[in-house]
Amino acid sequence: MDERELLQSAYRYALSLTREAGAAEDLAQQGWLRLLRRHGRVPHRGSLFLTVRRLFIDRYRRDRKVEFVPLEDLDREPPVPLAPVVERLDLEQLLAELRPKEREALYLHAVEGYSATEIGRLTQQGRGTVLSLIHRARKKLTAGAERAAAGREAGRETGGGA
Amino acid sequence: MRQNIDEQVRAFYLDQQMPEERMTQLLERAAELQQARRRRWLALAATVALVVFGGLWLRHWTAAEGLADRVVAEVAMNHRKDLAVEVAVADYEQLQPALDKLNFEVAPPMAQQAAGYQLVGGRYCSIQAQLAAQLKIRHLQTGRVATLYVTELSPELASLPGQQRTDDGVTVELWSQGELLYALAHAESS
Repeated sequence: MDERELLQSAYRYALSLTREAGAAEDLAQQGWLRLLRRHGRVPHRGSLFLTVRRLFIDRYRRDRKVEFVPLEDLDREPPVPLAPVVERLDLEQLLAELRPKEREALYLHAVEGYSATEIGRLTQQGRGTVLSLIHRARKKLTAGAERAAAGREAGRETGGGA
Repeated sequence: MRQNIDEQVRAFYLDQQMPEERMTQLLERAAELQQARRRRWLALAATVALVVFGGLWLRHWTAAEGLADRVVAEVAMNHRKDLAVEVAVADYEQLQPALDKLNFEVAPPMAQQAAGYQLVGGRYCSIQAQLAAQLKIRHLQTGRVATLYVTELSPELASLPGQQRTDDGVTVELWSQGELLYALAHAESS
């Protein structure tokens, strides 16, 4: 993975944490430069994500007091649900409604391809907790997508009837 | 149409890109940072090397200075004793058989410092526990008497040539010729 891909990856991960492009750019930049200052290079993706995460916690979680509700441990891989295809803006809105930890876990799993164990190591949570976070995130997104699809359907019917 | 929710999330995020301008700025800044870091390491390495080599040089120089002081003091003291020669010869070729315990051959001094002197005779002595020839020489024009010491230029004495020092009224000049160390001692006023 070259520097640009790695940096884009860090940006997307930061985006999954912050949901704000500007803040994500700042986090990715600060994480990148912090590793360079410490090690003279970015050792690997895991260390970059970890640095970005710590910066996020320092900067955002304390300020905004984001609540992380403890979850029960589940030791099974939840099935990936099928959902209606949602518009980009709808998905952005649905992702914003997830709790930060749910969004982070889903991002690391669905986009970066991390296993629940790897996510647990990065985020210092148990594997079961990570699986639970992913499961809840999927469930919420699927429900949201169903609602959005139903709304669009209702809109078409209303429009067709007029 | 229905689709795996993970795939939709993946497609959403992969569509997000850090702006090219910001990325270029960051990578340029990162390159500057790496260069600065390299420069700092080089400066640190150079400082460490300077301190280490400076320390070694200072130690060597201090030791050499101490040795020079000791040799000059020894040569000057022997000169002041003005001991009689054991063999009275006027020619360096005659000196060698007379001082046959020397483990080196005493070559006539070619240096400017010893020009105009005539050999009077010689005897055994030592410089820093190293066997040496102590020669009495007289200046042909002024008649002043000086003492010339000759010994092997061992590694321990290698730092001495090229110096002139004074010890309690005696001037000592040190030089090398071939594999030999020469030390000429004479009264400061002469």
